[in-house]
Amino acid sequence: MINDRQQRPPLYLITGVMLGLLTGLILAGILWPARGADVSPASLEDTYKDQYRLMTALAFAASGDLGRAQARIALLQDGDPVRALTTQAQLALANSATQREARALAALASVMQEFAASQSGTAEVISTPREEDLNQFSTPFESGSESARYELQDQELVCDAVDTPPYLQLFVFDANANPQAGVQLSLGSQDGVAELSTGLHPEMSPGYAEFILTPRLVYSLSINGVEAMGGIQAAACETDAGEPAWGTWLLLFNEAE
Amino acid sequence: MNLIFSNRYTLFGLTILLGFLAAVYYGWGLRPITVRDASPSLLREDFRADYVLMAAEVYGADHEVERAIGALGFLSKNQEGYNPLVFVSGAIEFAIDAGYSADDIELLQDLAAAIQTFDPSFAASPTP
Repeated sequence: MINDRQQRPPLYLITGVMLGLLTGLILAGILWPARGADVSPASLEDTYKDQYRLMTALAFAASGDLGRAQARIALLQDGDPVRALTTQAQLALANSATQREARALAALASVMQEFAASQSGTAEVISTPREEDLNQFSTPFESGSESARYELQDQELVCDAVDTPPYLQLFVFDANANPQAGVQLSLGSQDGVAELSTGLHPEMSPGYAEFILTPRLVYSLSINGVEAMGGIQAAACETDAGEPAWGTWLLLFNEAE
Repeated sequence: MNLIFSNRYTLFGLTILLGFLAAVYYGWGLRPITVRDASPSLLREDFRADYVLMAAEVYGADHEVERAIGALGFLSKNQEGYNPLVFVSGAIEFAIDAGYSADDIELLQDLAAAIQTFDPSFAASPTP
């Protein structure tokens, strides 16, 4: 009898462990969880993330330190940081009381976008074209269908500044000829697709967007997902003073009525 | 007989303690923390200090102390009645310990000085 009792498993020990585990889990998981210690900006509620993003943009506007701003924005772990900044800038732009914030957000988005573009595709851009590049370019042409929502109103090659990269500058207007912010633009080439948006340079115009073209690549432009232009190339030209320079393509689009 | 029971109670108590310690270690030490929708008051110390530095950078450019105080309210659980100087002092201490640059520490110190001399009868704006 005594031997039987001694051979039984010590259930009270298992019960003790279970009781201890249960109490510990309630304490560490529910009553007093280990929050606080490791919360990063990525874990913040969306409204707080917006405020953190805004503060980053304002600090960038104050210091001009892009590396620091990029590191801070990266902490938020936005899928598309530039788009997050742009969207927030557009919301701020709609409120007359937050124009300063809108400008700061848009400026940071713009600089980050330009930085990304310069990293990925424009490493070979030189500020002065080579002799053999002069006048070796095609003129952009409309390639959209009749159902395209935006029509080319005007295009011009401006050749007045040396030591600048080859820019593509776009102005988009709605059907009432008002500049239109938030229009999604994409420029496709052999190197891939670059996404742009109007509204990142409110100091120019809410409907303005710009892109640095890589020499010898041919781009096609889509507006809100619909192809609009083809044959866009960096254009080397001569200034009035006869100096070689990269020209700037100016393209103006109107929303069809 | 009493000794046997006494040993059992002791063992029972020890197993409870063992289970408790294992659970606490798991809950606080091992379990990956996945906090979502957190409040800024829970930010880690270095992120808090960097946020204060952002406020100091902005203050260094615009010298609008009210705006800086409003921005620092972000770090407070309770936007009403917080003391912004506590955040800035904490950030300065962290900045010195963590080896921030002299320029950054100076920005933080300038902000602290501005807050100390700020007339508290003015209400702080709630947003940066």
